Amino acid sequence: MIGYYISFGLISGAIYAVAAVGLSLLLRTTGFRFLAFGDTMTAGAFIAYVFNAQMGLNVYLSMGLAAVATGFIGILLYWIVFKGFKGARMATMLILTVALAFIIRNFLLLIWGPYPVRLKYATVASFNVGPLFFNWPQIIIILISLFVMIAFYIIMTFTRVGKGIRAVGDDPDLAQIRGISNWKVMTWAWFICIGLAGLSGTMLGMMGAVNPAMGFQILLLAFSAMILGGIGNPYGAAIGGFIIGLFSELTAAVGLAEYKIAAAYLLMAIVLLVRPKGLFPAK
Amino acid sequence: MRTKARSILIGLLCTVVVLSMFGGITIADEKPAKIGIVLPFTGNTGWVGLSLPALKMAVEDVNAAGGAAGHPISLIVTDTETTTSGAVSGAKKVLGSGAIAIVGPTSLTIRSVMPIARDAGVVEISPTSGTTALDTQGGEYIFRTVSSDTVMGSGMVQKARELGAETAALFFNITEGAASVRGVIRKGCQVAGIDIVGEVEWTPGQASYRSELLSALKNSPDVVFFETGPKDGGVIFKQWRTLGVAPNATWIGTDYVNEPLLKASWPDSKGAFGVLAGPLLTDRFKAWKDRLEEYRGKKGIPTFSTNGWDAMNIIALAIEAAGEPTKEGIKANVRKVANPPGVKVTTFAEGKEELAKGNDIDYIGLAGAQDFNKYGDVITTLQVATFDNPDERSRITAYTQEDVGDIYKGVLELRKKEREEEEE
Repeated sequence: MIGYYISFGLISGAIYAVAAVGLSLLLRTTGFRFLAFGDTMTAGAFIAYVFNAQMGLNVYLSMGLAAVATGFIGILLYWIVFKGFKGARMATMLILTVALAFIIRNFLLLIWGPYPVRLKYATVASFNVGPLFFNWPQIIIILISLFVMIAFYIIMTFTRVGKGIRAVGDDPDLAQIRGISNWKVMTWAWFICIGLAGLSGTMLGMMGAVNPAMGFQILLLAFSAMILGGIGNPYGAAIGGFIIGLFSELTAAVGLAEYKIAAAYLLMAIVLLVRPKGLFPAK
Repeated sequence: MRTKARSILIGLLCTVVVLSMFGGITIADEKPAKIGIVLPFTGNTGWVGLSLPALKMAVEDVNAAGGAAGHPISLIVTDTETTTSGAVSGAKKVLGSGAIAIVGPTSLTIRSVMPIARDAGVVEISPTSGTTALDTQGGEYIFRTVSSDTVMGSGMVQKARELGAETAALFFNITEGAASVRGVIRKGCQVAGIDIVGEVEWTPGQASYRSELLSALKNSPDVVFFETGPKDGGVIFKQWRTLGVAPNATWIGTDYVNEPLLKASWPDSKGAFGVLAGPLLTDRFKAWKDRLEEYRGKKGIPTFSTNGWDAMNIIALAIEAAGEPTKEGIKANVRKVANPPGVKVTTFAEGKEELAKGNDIDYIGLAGAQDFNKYGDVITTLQVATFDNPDERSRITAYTQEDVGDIYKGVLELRKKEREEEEE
């Protein structure tokens, strides 16, 4: 039976991991905590809903299109809102991102109302994979998550864009002196990060239903994954996502289901006491 | 030039005089009796707010009949957002705006609003709050036009008994409202001889309920008693189907089994039952249902609509009996117009007519007799509904007091025994 709970943890972890990677990269490049991230996840899920349930496209194709569309929303956010706040104080950014979160959520409420909507794909039964227990959509979600991690690593390590993002994240002034265009790099960073928000939001929507509050409800767990994995290290954040997912589901396995979210935060607190910069802090 | 100006001035004065003559009548009529509606329209129980058209329709009927004690009723509507802080600020807002009575809120927030209403000396009638915490509270300022969860929970166990269930699982979220029903069902199962083979309390707003489902259902119960809003319900039913654990279990829910949950969970929730407040299918109810459907421009009767309608009529009749729209008048007359003895009336207009004749009245609500006990509670009928199509919840039958009586009494006895043991 424990294998079942591990499976549940892997599925949740796959979603948290994708969200935490986007969140972590955004923190590294912008220097502030983007509290509207959860609501951009929700926006991505609703965009997928339009492609899938309203336009009739396949759910996985819709997921990809939603990620790209949400990425473009990220670009718009950067150019319209955040570019003008470069160097603003932390408190200003905190209030700004909270305000943006409310604006996005209420905009979604205005269009789709308060009740959940469902992506259209068949509910299929799970089956045993050794001691584990999945159905095909769940396996695909885990594979997509792993694929995203690998693609992310390749982009960040081997491409000009990735190197630029890392350089700007480490020292924006030095990067500029070395001829790296700050705004170009930031445009890409926002596209990738908010695109990942859209992707993880759609994955979340596939697990049940899409509703205007869903991303916000998951935001704290994504933050926990990011902090647990190591602030500013997207790879650590991904691992943090899986740890949070597994730990919370295994808490239910020992009969403490009602405390599984609290357990995830408790784990984060304990880790931070022992390793204040997280498990894999950025160098 | 001066003559022209004088003519204009005289003309204006005449206009003012004429308007104020008509206005004299209108002013007397337009001193509205303000009633505060404190219900959730957003948040986890935002669906409760769908009952608002029934309240508005009741107000229109009262006003069409000449108003309550000659005063039109106007509503001040606030959204609790399903939060305690929202309910408290909502109650303060309507009282600050001059409300002389409050309709609402729900079980989740009522205990925060009760002291505010009591301190303001304002009667509060909740058409939605079934929490058992009120079973021994209220009766002076706090009333309910919906049965306690003790009745609803007994009805849910009765449904399980009808289905021949021998084992059950309890799958409720961590809220005061859910805890209230869960406590009744535990005792109800004991009375009905149904074994509880799994029980999980879960935290709302999660991405996954697989662990909770597996823990609760691994012993393959015959029925699953549950309460969930639409946001979590969509996730729970989908994940239950994909898990394949206890696939033949019948889900029996509370008044949360409604259209928003249906839309969020169909087709995975197909076959789920709900046992909730609902009137008997009388001709009176059918005619009212047609009217409300036309009024709101939609098929179906949102949960608590009949209870809301009754609450509004009782308040209006209390004002009528008092002869003036004051909070003191409402407090003094709520029981008089709702409880026997008196001529039985079913609408505000009928009640007004009888009161004008000098008769006592006994308002018979759409949701059943509205006879308040010493704690301000009523016992209304229940309906059993099911999800059998994607468009609307289907009502299949109703339970009266006789149907659930033995379970209900058994629960009360167990509760009494428990209290006595605690006291010892």
